[in-house]
Amino acid sequence: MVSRRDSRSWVRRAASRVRGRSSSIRSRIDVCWLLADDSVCIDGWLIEADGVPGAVDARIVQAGRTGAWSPLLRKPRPDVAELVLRTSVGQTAFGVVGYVAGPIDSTRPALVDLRVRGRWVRVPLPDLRADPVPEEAFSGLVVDYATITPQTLAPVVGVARSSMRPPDPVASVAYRHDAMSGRARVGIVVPVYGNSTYVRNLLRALADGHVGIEVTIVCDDPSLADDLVHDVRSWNEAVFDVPVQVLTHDRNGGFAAACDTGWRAIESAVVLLLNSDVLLTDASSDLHRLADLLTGDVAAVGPVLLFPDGTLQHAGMEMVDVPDFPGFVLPGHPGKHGPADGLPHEPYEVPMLTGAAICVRREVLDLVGGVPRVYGRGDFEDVLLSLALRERGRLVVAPSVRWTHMEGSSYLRDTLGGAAVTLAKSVVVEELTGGRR
Amino acid sequence: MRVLLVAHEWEAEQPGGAQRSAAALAQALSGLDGVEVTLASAVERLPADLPDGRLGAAAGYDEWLVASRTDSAFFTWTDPAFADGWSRLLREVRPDVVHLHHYFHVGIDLSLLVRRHVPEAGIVLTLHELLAICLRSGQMVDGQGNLCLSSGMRRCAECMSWSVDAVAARTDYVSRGLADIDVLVTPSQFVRQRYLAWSPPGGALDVRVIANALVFEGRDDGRSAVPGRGLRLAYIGQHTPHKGLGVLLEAVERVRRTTPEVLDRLDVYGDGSQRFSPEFHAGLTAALRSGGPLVRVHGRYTQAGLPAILDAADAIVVPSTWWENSPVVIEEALARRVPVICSDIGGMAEMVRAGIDGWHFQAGNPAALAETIARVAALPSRTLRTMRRPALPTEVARAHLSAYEDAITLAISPAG
Repeated sequence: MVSRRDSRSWVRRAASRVRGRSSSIRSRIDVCWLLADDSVCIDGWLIEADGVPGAVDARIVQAGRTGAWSPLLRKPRPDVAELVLRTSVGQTAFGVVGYVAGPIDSTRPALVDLRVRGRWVRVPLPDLRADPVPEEAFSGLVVDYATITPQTLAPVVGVARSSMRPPDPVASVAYRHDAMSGRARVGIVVPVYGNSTYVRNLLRALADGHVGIEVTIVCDDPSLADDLVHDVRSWNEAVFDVPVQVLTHDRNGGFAAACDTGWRAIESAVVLLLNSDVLLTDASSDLHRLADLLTGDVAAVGPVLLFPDGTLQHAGMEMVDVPDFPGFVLPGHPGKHGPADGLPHEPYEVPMLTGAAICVRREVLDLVGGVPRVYGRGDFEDVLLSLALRERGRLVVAPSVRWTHMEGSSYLRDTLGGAAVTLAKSVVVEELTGGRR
Repeated sequence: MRVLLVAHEWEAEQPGGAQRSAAALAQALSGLDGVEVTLASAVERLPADLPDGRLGAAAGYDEWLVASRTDSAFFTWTDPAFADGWSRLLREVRPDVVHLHHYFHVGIDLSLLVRRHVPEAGIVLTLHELLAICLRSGQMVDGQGNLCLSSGMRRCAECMSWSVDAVAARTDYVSRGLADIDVLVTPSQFVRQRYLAWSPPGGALDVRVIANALVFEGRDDGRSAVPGRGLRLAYIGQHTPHKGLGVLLEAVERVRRTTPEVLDRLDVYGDGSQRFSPEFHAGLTAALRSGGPLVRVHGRYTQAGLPAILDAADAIVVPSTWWENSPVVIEEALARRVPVICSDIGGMAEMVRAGIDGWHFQAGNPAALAETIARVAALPSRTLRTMRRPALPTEVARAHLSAYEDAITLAISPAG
C-alpha cells in the first residue's frame, strides 16, 4: 500500500509552489472545480490556511481579462485568463490559482463565485487581485473540511470525460542532425512542454557516447519551439554532435500525442519514452542495458528513478486506494521517498511503469496503438499504457539502471495541478480500465 | 610529446595564480627534451591585430589566445561559437595531451571537442578552486561568511536560493565534464579531499596531487632581521572579499593601539577591490587609508619585482577567510626563505606547517592575528631554518609528464 506521505506528497508540493506566490498561505489544498457558463477551466486548485478547517469551492462565472500571464507558459497568452486570488480574513488565508481556456469575453470583468461552508460569494476577479475580499464577506463562517468523493466530484468528472482530449496537432521537422537516421537500435522520444531547461543535460549525457542511440525531441508547446529549436541546433552542431531531431507541434496536443508523434517518426526497434527532466547516469550503457532486457515476453522495462537527494522515487507502480480520499484509486510508487538501496539486484516484474521513463519494444507499441490519448496532460496515461502493454508481455524494472528525475519539472505540473481534476481523471480511468490494477 | 596547456585567463591581461602556474609549467616543460609546448589563454575577445590569436614563440614556446567565456554556474560557453576557436586550435596543434588549467572561461565542454578532433589525446585538468562543488564562487563559504566543508543538493539550494532541481541539473552537467577528464590534478591534499568527498553521481573522482609549477628566483642563504626593529610584513595578492585583507588591516590597527613597537610596517601589494561591491571597495579603501604610516599601499606589482618585495619583508601574511588551494605567493615566499603567517584552514594550513614554515592564526579573527604578529615579533629569530623548499620546476614538470603519459594511456584505452 502506498504510504500516507506518498499519497499526499503531490498535494504538499502544489501547496509549496503556491506559497512562493503568497507567503501567508500555509498548507492544505483541497478541492476546486471551475466551471462557467461560457468557459471551461481545465485546471485549478484552491488553498486554505492551516488551523481553519473548511472546504472552499470556487467557480468562474465569467472569464474576462484576456492576455493574462500564464503560469504554464510563463508569459502572457491571449487565450488564457489567469486566476490568482489571495485574501486573508483574520488568521485565515486562502487563494485560488488556475487558468481558463476556452471562450473568453474580454469586454467583461471576470467573476468568480467562492463558496465557503455552503455560502457563495460572487467577487469580480480584478478586485480580488488588487484588494483583499472584505472581511465581512467571511465573518461568522466556520469552515469544515468536506470529504471528497466521486459523487461530489461529478461535475469535474464530467469535464474530464468529455473535454480532455485536445485536437490532434500537426507535426513538422524543425531540426535534424546529419547523423540522424531514425533507425538506431534505441530511439529516445522526449516530449517537451512548458519547460525545456534540461534538454541540454540529455544531449550532454549522450555526447559522451551514443552508439546505436538517437533522440527525437517533440516540442508540444508552440511558445517554446523557436528557442528550443535554436538552442538544440546551435549547441548540437557546435558542441554535442548527437544524432537528434526536433519535431514541433503546431498546437499543444498533450503528452500522449507528443509521444506518438515521436515514436512514429522513427523506426528504432526499441523506443524509450523519456521526460525531459530525467537525468541519465551512464547514458549509453544504461540504454543498451534496458534494451537488452526487452527479450522474450518482456514488453517494457523501466529504470529506477531517484529524487535529486538520492531517495527512491519510482521502482514500479501500482494502483492503490488512497486513505485521504476514500473511493479514489491513484497510482502509487512503493517505497517512494525511502532509501533506494533495498531493491532487488536482478530485474523484477511490476504491475505498472511510470511514463517518465519507459522503454518499449516498438512492435509492441505498434500492437497497442501507442500511448492512449485520453487527456491533454500527463496524468494516468502511463497507467493506461501499462495496462495495454501488460496484455502483450511483462513489465520489468531494471534496478541496475538508476536515473534522477525532477518529478514535475518537465511540465510544471504543480503550478497547474488541480487536485480535483486529478481525482476526477482517476474516476474516468477507473471506468476505462474496469477497475483493473 | 606535444602538450597543449590551456589557461583560463591571459596572464598579461589578468594576472593570477592559476595563470602564473600555467605559464611557469609551460616554461618548465619546454626545457625538457622531446616536449613541444603550446600555451593557449582564454580571452574575452581576440585583439584586433591578432585575428587568428597566434602570439608567437617569444617565451620559448608557442602562445595562442582563444576567445572563450563561460557562465559561472555550468561553465558552458556563453556563445556556442566559442567552440570554433578551440576546434581550430586543436586541429592546428594536434596535441598528444591537453592540460586544462580551470574550466571557468575555458569551457566544461572542451573535452568533447578534444575527443572529436584529437581522439587519442590525453586530457588533464588542474583543479585550482572548488568551483564545481560550490556555487558561491567556488569558495565553500556561505552567504553569511561561514565555512562549508561539504556540499549537498538541499544545502546548496538553500544557500543559493536555487531549487534543488536546478542544483541537481547543474551538478549533473558539471560532473559529466569532469568525468571526461583522464587525469585530474590539484596542488593540495585539501582540495583533493573536497573533490573526493563531493563524489558526484556517476562515480567518485580520482585526483592526484602535484605542486604548482613555480619558475621563480629562489635564494639559498638564511635571512637576517634588523635587530631592535618591529616586523616588516607584506600582503601580496588580489584585494577580493575573501582574501582577508580587511582582517589584516584590523589586526594592524589593534597592534598600533596596543603594542606598536612590534610592527615596523605593512606593505600592501595588489589591487582589485574595485571589481566588487561599492561597499566593499569603499570600506577597504578607507581601511587602507586609515592605517597611517604603518600601512604602505603600493598597488600592482610585477613578477620581476617580486623577489625584491619579498626580500624586504620579514614575513608575508596570507589572511584568507576561505579555504584557498595552494596560493602561489606562499611558494614564492618560501622560495625566498620568507616565512608565512596565514589562516589556519584549508590549503594554507597544509602548505604552511605551523612553526615549521610559518605561523597560523584563527581564520577571520583579527585579534588572533594581532597576537600572532606580536608573538612572531618576540621570537629571537625571524628565520625558520626548517622551512621547506618548493618543488623545483623540473620536478614539477616531470610529475606532470608522468600524468600526461597516464592520460594518454587512458584516452587510448578508456576501460583501463
